[in-house]
This record gives sequence, structure tokens and C-alpha cells, in this order.
Amino acid sequence: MLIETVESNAKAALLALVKEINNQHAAAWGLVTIHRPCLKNMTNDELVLALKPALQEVTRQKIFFVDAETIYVTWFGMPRKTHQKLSATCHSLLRPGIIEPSAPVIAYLDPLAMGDELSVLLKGATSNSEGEQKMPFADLAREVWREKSAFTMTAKQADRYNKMLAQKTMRTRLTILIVEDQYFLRNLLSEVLLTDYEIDAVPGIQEGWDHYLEKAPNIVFLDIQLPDGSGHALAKKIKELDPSSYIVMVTVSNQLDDVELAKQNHVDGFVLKPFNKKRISDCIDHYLAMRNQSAKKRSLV
Amino acid sequence: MTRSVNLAVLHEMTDGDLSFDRRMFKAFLKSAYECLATLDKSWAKGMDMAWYQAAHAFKGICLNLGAERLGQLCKEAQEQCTAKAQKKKELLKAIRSELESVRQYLESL
Repeated sequence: MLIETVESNAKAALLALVKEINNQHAAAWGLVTIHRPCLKNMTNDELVLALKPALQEVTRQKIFFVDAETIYVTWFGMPRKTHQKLSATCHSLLRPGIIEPSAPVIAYLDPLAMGDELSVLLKGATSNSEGEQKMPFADLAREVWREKSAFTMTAKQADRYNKMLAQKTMRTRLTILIVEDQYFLRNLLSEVLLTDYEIDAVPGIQEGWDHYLEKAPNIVFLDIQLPDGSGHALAKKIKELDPSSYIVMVTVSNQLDDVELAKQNHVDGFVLKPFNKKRISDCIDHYLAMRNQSAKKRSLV
Repeated sequence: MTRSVNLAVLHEMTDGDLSFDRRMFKAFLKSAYECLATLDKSWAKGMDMAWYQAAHAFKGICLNLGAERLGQLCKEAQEQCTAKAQKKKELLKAIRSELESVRQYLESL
């Protein structure tokens, strides 16, 4: 059996996937996402070979290599059984030392559970077990790509941001942005820092990005797993915008994949939950030391 | 039997300030019941990813309050995200019961 594979970015993969599902008109189909950092190092070909036995009995399937982290596998026919086989295969391919991955090694992609673009597409594109009403493909695409505006910047925002950026290094009272979805942790961290710093606390990626542009904060405490996406994506975007930004990832996970991604994005710190005052103030002290050092360098020049 | 909450963990942040503690107890319970509702919903609909994310978030808040047993149950729930519905149902029951103990303990302070 030939397994069809596609190396693609997320957008192209999603569009192809929906088209595929629409074309098949299949009553039974399945879709899983595989979190690649959990698996041992393998080429795409090696991975396809390893997954092949689990896909023997399905009528049609497709594997999308979306990015370094994500693989989508979709198939038609006997979804439950295939999911179990794929799951067993993936768990046999785990990277040594993976104990608690930052995302499931393999999970059903649930159209209703996730707020991401794939779920929006599938929710409308299929008539699977959830019995969702079908939506024309063009409308779906419009709905999905409207959400792609998450990391855009209007001219007005850019103007405001540049003004705030100019003030950033001169602030006597530091501005801190907390991006954390859990009300309890957002409040805990805010209240501890409120006496000495200017605090903004928001629950998601989009609000985090908007607040960053609004205030150009000195420090960002950023959770990794957020309802509207990964904190890594926001960290990456902020660092692209302002390489001198100071970002501290705050998370329960200290898994290699999260640490690696944080490093790749050049974040400045990593705080594990449960956090304490000392660890938080160490981060702030580190930021201040760095700021003083670069001010000295500037004055020497 | 040990206490449901090891307050020393929260006091690392609040310095044992009772009114601060109380505000945080309320905030914790609000977050905890939201996570529980998401677990319930994702169990009912068989949504592995949503279950995993809710269990992960729940575990995070438990760690910072010092609700160690509850945190351990959430960790187990997270690990069992692809388990059968019956297993998840048992976990939900245990989580609900432990959360009730935590609530009673917090309200007694």
C-alpha cells in the first residue's frame, strides 16, 4: 500500500485536508495529530515506514508533515481501530527520557475542542459523528483566515509601539506583562508584583500580542500552553519584533522539547510552576542587570 | 491523613498574609471549577486533546496552591488522556472528591 505524504505548512495542509475530507464523503474518517518532539529522531521516510503497519486496513490515508513539531495523519475507514494502532506505534517510537510530554504524543484532533483553524475548518467541512452542519468550503476558508490576523500590526499600533519602545529603557517603574490563562495564577503573580511594578495581565496569545504593542513592556512572563495557541509562538513573534525584549516562560513542563523551543526563540528565562517570589525577583534582577550593562556600554560609546 | 493543601507553597508567594491568602483561595476555586467543567465536557464528548489541556492547566494551579494530592490526580489524568472513557470517569470522580476536600479545607481557614 502506498502511503501518500505531503510536506506542507499548516495553512496548505489544512486546506488540503478539508478538501480531502469533502471529496471522500466518508461516513468514517479519523484524524490525529502527532507531536513530533516526543518521538526519537527519524527522517520522514523512516517515520512513514514505521506508521505503515498501523494504516494497513484503511481505505485511504494521508500524512501531512506540517512543521518540526506537528504531523497530521488522516484516514478513511475504521477510525477507532486505526487510532489505537497509531497510538501504540507512536508510543513505541518515543524519544528516550520522555516522561511527561508538553503535548499528547498522539491525539485525536477534535473539531469542537480546539479553537484553532483546523477545528474551525473541520467543524464545518464534515458531517462526521458530531453531526455538524456542513458549510461551503469558501465560507470556511474565509472564516479560518480571518483568524490569521493574530499577529498583525496596524499603522496606528506601530506608531504607538514605537513611542512606547523609545520610553522603554528610561522607565523608572518597570512595566510587566503577564500572559497566563488561569485566573488564579494570573492574580497571584499580579498581586505579588503590583506594589513595585506596572502590571498588565491577560489570558491569551492575542491579548498578549495586543498588549505588547500597546505598552512595549520591559518584561513578559509568558505561559506556554494557552487556550488560543502556544506561548512559544508569541515569544517568537515578540523576539522578531524586538530582539531586546525580555521574555520569561512560566510553565509546569520542563520537557526537552519546550526548553529547546524556548532556546530557539532566544527567550531569556524559564520559571517552573510552582513559582515563588525569589525565582520571580531573580528574573527581574537579571533584567535590570542586563539593562544597566547595556546603558553603560551605550554611555562608553 | 495529611492535609489536602500544603500552604507553605502558597506562602512562598503570599508571605502568609491571611487576606492575600483568602483572595487566592477564591481565585483558585474559580479556576479549579472551570478546569473541572472542561474535563467533564471533554470526557462526555471523548475529546482527548481538550482533556489533556484541562488536566495540564489544573495541575499547574494545584502546584502553586500546594494541593499536592489533587495535583497528582491531575497529572494522572493528563497521562491518561487517551485512556478509555471508564478510566477517565473514575479519574474525574477522584478529582471531584479531592477538590471537595480542598474546598472544605480552604473554607475552614
